[in-house]
Amino acid sequence: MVSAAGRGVDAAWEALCKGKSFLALEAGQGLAGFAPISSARCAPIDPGALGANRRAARIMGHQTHMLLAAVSEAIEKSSKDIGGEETAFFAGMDSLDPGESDLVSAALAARKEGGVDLNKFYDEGMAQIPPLWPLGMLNAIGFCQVAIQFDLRGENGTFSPGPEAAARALIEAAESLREEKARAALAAGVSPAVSARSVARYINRGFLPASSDGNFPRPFSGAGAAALGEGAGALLIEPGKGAWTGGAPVMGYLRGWGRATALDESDGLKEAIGDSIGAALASAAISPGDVDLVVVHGAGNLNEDAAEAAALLNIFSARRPRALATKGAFGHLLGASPMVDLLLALRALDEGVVPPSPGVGDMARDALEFSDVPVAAKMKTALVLSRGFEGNCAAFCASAA
Amino acid sequence: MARPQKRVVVTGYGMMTPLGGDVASSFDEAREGKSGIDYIRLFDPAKLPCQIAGEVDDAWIEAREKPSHRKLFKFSTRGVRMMLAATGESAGHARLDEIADRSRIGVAVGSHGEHPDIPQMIQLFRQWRPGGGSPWEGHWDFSELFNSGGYDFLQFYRRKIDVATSVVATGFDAQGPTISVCSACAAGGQAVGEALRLIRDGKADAMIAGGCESAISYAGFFGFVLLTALVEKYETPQMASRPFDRRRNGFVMSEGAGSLVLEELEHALARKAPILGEVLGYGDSADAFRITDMHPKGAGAVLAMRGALADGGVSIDEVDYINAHGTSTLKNDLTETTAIKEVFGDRAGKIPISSNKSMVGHTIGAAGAVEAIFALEGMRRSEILPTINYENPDPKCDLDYVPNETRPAEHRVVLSNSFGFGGQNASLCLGRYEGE
Repeated sequence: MVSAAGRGVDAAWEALCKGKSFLALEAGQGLAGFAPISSARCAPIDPGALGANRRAARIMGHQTHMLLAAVSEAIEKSSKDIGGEETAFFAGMDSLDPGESDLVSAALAARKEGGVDLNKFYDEGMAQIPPLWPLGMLNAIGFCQVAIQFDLRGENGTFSPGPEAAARALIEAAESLREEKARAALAAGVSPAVSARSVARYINRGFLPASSDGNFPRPFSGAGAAALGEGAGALLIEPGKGAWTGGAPVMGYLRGWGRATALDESDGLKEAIGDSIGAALASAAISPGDVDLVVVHGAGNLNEDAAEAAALLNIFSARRPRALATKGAFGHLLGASPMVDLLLALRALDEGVVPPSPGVGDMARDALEFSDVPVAAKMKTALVLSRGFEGNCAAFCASAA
Repeated sequence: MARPQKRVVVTGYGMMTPLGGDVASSFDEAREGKSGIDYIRLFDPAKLPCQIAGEVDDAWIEAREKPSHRKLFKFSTRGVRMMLAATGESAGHARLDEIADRSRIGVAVGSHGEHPDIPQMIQLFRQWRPGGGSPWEGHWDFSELFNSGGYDFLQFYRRKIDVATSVVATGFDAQGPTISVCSACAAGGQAVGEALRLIRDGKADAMIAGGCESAISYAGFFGFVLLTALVEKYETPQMASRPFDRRRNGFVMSEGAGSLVLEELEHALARKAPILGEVLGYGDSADAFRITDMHPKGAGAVLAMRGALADGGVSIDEVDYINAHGTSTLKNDLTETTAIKEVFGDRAGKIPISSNKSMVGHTIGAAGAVEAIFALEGMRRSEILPTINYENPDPKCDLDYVPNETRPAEHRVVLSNSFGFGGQNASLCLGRYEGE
């Protein structure tokens, strides 16, 4: 996993347990001219340190670096020789933006007083654009670079954009095992890079506020503002029997999953969230009473948080399972969000600790029990919620090893 | 070999290609060995070494557009408009309107959204603010770009990978599961394969599946030009795409859309839907080799083809025809030939193989779907479409490529290959519907 806390699940877990938030107001770093905006960026990652050769690394961007680092950790931790034809690989690749820095030479060659000289662009500028610049906008290219690096030649798929793409990747990975088309499957998700384009995109979409007063997104607080984070998550999953006999450390079990779509986001979201949870519980053959921990989606947007709180209250009533909200710490990781939340859920089950949820408000406290400090708790089963754009909802059930 | 218990059939298909605005006209032109490639009209390619493409006639798009879909056009790229039109045809065939429970109809589309084009780049270039000691120091003034309207609100939607899926789902009231696939030239084939899985898993009764792409623009071209992947030497545009021919020297960019309605067999029978064919199996893989090159022995292609056969419970002896990826690049066609020999052994030389791209060009994210439809329609008509412009046999590509003329042939099982730039591969095993 990669997050603003650094590389590795350990870094994110320790930061979370300390109640840290990595969200900060920023106006520089390529965001000149925008009102200050809150985000949580990942530090640059050196692909060479992850074994990428120089030629391959030259055409990788930050998003690919994050994915590479997350997959690298997942494979290292499996302690197995993963790769080849029997390893499937599915990833949710969030929006990829044009690399403007690659255009500077072309822009300089084509500029004239007060504008752009098209002939100069065609004659001189174009040749200075790296050949893979337009192709680099294909989300599949970063995915393929990672597949090459780790020799992942089995079943595969690349979905985009948003959290729903990562949720789909995880479901497809699990299905490929169930259908016995792979012996192991990597499921990964990666966020977009925080950039001027991504900020403009999400402001336009109404997902980000046009400016921020420094109040970090506070899930279920009614403050009504999300914030971007950068990160990636990857899980290596195997059939339970195979993992035991293969000697790999088992970090947890993926028990079930469910998806549902709200056709009318303003009205049907509560039902879709409830339907996705119901489907996940049913496929895991458990009841709401079996859920010990809920990792909420909690994006920080007012209406969506209200729908999620209502759906959870409907399902859990007054039982109030323990809960964790991560977006106040790492921002909204979009295409990485469900993977990162699932990894942290598995860690919480393993450690028997529920970390605090930075900035979480009161809207869902009737249904869930958040804490302000790390709380020791014996837990077996976690429910992880994810919500994408266009009303796409997903839920995953996981249990301790 | 055992076949999957839950069978998935095709109850409708539609397409839009440089050859025609629907399946019948596209197939009729193809069976005559006609080419849809010509000089580019959609943008000025004057400074580029490749000046040809397979363009879809605007009149065909406009003629097939539903007035009720006009509200979706502001979100739609040219490729998505073609997908809407193609889906109008496939949904019409399948009588999709008759299905009352719309939550059991899903959508899976392979597509890649819109590239920023020259006008958008020019708007960006105007916002370069030099500063510092060297000419390369400075910054882009994005806030000015944003405030000047240079970052169009709707650009967000048109660049999204999932815009095609969302627009089709909205346009045809498909409320079931959705998937947006972005695996380059394998995307259309993978979308059909993912739709097959969703129906088998019981997540949907019917799926609209396919792919669309329109990248005939300066930005769509120049990356491939710089990589020397596009054809640069040709006598006429119509003779430029020549898969498996010794004088092949690159692919021809094209545009189009292919849409299939996949349906669970019992569901289709219960509502007496027309059954046009069957999707028997799907295999996918990654080369995990190099971004710009296929694996020289076609290891990923081999894996995908074997996966599709195994998934469908089909033996190599049952395959009657291979609808090749056949791009007309030196490497692809040689590698695909090698891979077919590896999978089929001594049978490879006895199986007819042809490339629709010789006539249609390379429709990128649409290719897998368009070619699957050609293959299904060919089975229905008992005709195998040719590889045109096959004039100079390549000693290294020595299989039966159905040169230049349509071949009448009863055939029941087809493999349709799609191999994506970067190394993702998909193979579909398709069958003629032979009853229960």
